[in-house]
Amino acid sequence: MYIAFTDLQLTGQAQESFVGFDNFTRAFRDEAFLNAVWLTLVFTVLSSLIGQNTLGLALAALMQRASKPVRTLTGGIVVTAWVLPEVVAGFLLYAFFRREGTLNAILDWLHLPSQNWLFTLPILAVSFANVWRGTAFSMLVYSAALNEIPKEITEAAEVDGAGGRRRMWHITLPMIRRSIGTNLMLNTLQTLSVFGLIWVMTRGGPGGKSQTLPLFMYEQAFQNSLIGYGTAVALLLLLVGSLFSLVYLRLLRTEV
Amino acid sequence: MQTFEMLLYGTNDGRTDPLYDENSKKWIAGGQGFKDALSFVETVYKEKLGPDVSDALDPNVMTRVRGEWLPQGKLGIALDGSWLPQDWLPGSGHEWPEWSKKLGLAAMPTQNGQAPGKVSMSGGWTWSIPAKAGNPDLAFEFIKTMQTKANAQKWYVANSGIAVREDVAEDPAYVDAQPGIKFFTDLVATTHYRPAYPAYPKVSTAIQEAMEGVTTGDTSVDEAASNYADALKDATDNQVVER
Repeated sequence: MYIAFTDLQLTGQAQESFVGFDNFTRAFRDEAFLNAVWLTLVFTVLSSLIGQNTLGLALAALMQRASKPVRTLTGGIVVTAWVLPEVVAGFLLYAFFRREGTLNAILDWLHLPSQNWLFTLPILAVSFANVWRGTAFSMLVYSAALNEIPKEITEAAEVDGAGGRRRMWHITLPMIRRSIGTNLMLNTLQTLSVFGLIWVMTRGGPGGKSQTLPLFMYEQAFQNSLIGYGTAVALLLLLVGSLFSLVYLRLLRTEV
Repeated sequence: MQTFEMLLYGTNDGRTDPLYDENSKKWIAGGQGFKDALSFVETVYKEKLGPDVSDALDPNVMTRVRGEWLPQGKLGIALDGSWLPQDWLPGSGHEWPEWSKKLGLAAMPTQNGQAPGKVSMSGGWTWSIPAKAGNPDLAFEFIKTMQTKANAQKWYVANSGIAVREDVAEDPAYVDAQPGIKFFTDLVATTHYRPAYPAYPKVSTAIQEAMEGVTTGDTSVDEAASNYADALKDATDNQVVER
C-alpha cells in the first residue's frame, strides 16, 4: 500500500520519497492507463460475463440431458483446456490465431477471407482465448448447481405446462441464483488478473490494443522500473475488482 | 535497439549522442535525425519493402527471422547483431551450420555515408562486486582470475561473445573460433552505447511507442516525434532540450 504513494524506482535512486496521490492523478491523465482500463472492461465483460459464464451454463444444461458417454467426453475435453498451464494455453491459442494458424486454415477451407487475428482484433482474440480456457470452471460450478435442483419442482412445472424456456427462466435460474453470483465473482476476479495468456499471445500489442491493466502495470513497474506507479495501478485494479464484487454481492442478497 | 537506434545514431556525426546531450545533461527531443529515422521506418512499411506489419509486430517475430525466414531464404536483409549466429550453433535451437556460407555480413551504413561510414550499437555487461558483498577482496581475485588472457579467451569462444581484451581479440584461436567473430570485433571501434541513465528504460518505451505508431500507420512521423517529445518530458522530469 505504502509503495503506491512513493516514487520508488528500480534504477538510480538512493532513497524513495512520499509523493501523496501523484501516482494516481498521473494515472488518470495517462492515456495509456485509460486505454488499459477500457480494454480491461471489454476483456472482462466479453470473456468472463458473456463468454465463460453463459457458455458454462449452456454446456452444463446441455450435459444434464446428454447420455453418459457424451457427458464424459465433453466434460473431459472442456476440462483439459482448464487444466493446461496458462503459458501452454496461451501458446496454443497463439498458434490457432496467427496468420498461418489453424483458424485461418479452416476459414480458407470454407473459402472465407482470412486475416491475422492477433493483429486486426487482438482484444477479441485474447478474450476468446480466455473463454476457451476458463469455461470449464463455470461448467463445473453450474453442473453441480443444476444437480441440486429437486426433480419434483421441474416436473411440477412441466405438468403445469411450462415449456423449456419458461422452466429455465422461472425455475432454474432463480434456484441457482447463488451459484451464478459466486461463479460470476470468481470468474471476474480471475479474468481481471489474467496476464500470462495475453503476454504470450500479443504482449499487449500491437500498439497497446490488447494491453489490459495487468500488462500495463507490468510495463510500468518492470520495464520502465517505476515500482511506485506500477503499485498504484495495481491498487486501482484492485478497486475495479472490488466494484465488480460489490455488484455481485448485491445480486446475491436480493431475495426472489 | 537494433532497428530504430541504429537508424538514429546513423543520422548523427558519429561522435555525440543523438538521444542525450552530455554538456547540458538533458535528453534531446524533436531532432531532424529522429524524424528521418522514423520516416525510414514508415517508408519500409508503407511501401511494403519489409515484412507485413502484422508479422513485424508479432511478439515472436525474431524467432521466425532466426528459425525460418533467414534459413529458408525468405529474407534478404536482417538488421541484427553478433548474437544472431548463437542460435545456429550445433546443439542450439535452430541448427544451421552452413549459415556462414549462405549469409554475408555488412556494417550498417550511416545516413549519408558521413564519417565513420558505418554505425553499430552495443549493449554491455560487466562483472561487479556489490557494495554489501561479504568478501569483496576474494570476489575481486575471482574476477581477476576469470579475466586472465587464457580464461577470458575460453569464455568468449564458449559463449560466442565479443572479446573486450585486445590480446584475446587478436589471438588467432579466438578469431578463427567462429565465422564472423572478426567482423563483429572490428565493429567495436566505432560502436555506440545507449545513454545509461536511470530514465533510459522509460525513454526506450517512448521510442518503441513512436516506432509502433509509424509502423502501423496510426501516427504520422511528425505526430510520433511530438508524442515522443511529450513522453520524454514526462519520463525525465522535464530534463529535455529541443533540437
